[in-house]
Amino acid sequence: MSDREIKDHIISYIKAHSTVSDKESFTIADTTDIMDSGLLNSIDFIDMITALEKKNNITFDLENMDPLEYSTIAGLISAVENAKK
Amino acid sequence: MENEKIDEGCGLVGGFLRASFKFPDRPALFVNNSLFTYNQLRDYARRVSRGINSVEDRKKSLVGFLGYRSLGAYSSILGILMSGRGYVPLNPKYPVERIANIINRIDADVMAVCEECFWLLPSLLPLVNKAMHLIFLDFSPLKNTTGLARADASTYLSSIAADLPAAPQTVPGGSDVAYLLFTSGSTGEPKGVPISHANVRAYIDYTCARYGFNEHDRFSQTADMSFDLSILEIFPCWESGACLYCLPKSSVMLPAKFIRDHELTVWISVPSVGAFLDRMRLLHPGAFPSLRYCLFDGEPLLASIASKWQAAAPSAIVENLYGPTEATVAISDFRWKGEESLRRCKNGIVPIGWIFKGQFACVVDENLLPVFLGTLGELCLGGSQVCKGYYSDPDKTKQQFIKINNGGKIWYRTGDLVIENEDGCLNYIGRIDNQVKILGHRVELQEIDHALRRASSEELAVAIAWPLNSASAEGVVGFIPNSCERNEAEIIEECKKTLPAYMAPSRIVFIKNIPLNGNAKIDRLQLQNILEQEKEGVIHE
Repeated sequence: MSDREIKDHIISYIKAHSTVSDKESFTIADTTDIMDSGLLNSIDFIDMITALEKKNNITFDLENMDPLEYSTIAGLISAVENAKK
Repeated sequence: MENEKIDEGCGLVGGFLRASFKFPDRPALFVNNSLFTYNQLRDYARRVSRGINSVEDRKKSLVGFLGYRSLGAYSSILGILMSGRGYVPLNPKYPVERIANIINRIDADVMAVCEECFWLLPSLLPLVNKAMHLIFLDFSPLKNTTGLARADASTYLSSIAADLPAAPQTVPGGSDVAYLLFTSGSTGEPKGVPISHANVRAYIDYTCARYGFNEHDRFSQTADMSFDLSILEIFPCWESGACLYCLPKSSVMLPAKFIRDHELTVWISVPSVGAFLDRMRLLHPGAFPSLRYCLFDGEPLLASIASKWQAAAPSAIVENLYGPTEATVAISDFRWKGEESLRRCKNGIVPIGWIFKGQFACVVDENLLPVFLGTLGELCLGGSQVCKGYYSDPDKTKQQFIKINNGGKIWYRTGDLVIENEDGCLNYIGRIDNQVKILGHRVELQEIDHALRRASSEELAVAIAWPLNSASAEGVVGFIPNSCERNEAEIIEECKKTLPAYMAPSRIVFIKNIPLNGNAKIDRLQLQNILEQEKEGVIHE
């Protein structure tokens, strides 16, 4: 998946699972904390991580990552890249 | 207290003050990547206390505070207690209507507002129907206060000089309220639970004596302050001179790295955190060598998770705690001892153990008569930790606080079904409201949950009696996360191996997520609503 595809995937996941009222015009900055901003709850967030792993056939090194590192779109994009190395 | 005289009368805050003089330069609080010593924290709290005393002359017994995981929030708790009043946490995660409802109901006209919650005021204040004096907890002068001024009166903490003369000392009495929490009832008005200094001192004294915490301990702090689990995290820690580590929100459910990086020694949380860690491959043997204690409270602890925590934290004592808010955080405990404990589990759930020394339990039937040992009944609690009733609600108090056998003692009806074993150990079986009749048989939904968990290999599997007609139902529907690899027929077939036919689910609904309420407990009512809406033709994803 390219960076763009990862971003689109995350945004569509959030749209499908979040309780944000206006899903059509919904946007999120690359640096917004997905959980802290209340866009996803913990369970949805964990599911999103698992789905990203499956889709990219990778395993995140969660053991050594701070959740802050993978709780933004920018962080997730770099986490996918690192996991592919 | 302002003149720093500390004695036994200082109630809940006394332990912190004592530790702050004994260990002034030791770390007391880690929050938002900053560490504060006992001296610093006491100084901040003292400013809050002076702020309160400067605007209100003790006509009111309570002070609300709006704060979230910040230095301001912790200083508010301590400062309000040091001012001789009880604190009422107002959780900014709640809907503004709910926060306003609480403010309107409590005997308080001062509210401390922490910087991270300033944004909430423009939507909150118009819903408040009385004059409130706001104390803005800006520890440094505010940069921008536009839009904040719609309060009847306000004080900025930065304007309060640190060297103000001491306010008159006010020592709370044992029966004065130390904190007032509102339980997250899924229907109707939230119930206010006032816990007195005497209630909470009995609890803290028992807890500190049991565990022997010390100034070298590092405690986790995950629970919101509106949830009474936070009392167990915060106060025994500060009584012991230890350091409290407030986890960033992003780490609360996945705390593995935080525990290791900060070498926490005391972990306290709801059991669901274990299930999340397990799902993310983070609850593996030896994962948390620094932990000395792992204490779980707030919902049933699964034996499988207790066992994995024990392996992950091999040097730690793992305990399951039990207690409703009305009985002050926890009133019974069970220490996990591997195989031996496994044999005591019922429906895969760890026992809630033995009632604390000095507190009392009585298991009763539906006529409020004590049952024989080994017989299922409702748990009633009494003793110095049990509060006297609900806040300004004599009707609900009368319903839940009762006499048994016309005795003089008042008991709190927990609504929890338990079985007391011959040695006094209690097994939690379920909520009384989860007890339903299915085709005439009395059924505990937790037993079906257990069968569903085994059949699906999913930790979060829930049974709902359906269709429901008052407390009786025709059958059972199982809810399973759709990550499950087994199909409906396989799960039902597997359940039928252990459950009588009337208890086996007739249908399985796969959903993305099992809904949890604000305190991370399974929200059965939401699942029931899904079925209700389905019946009415509302289509779900």
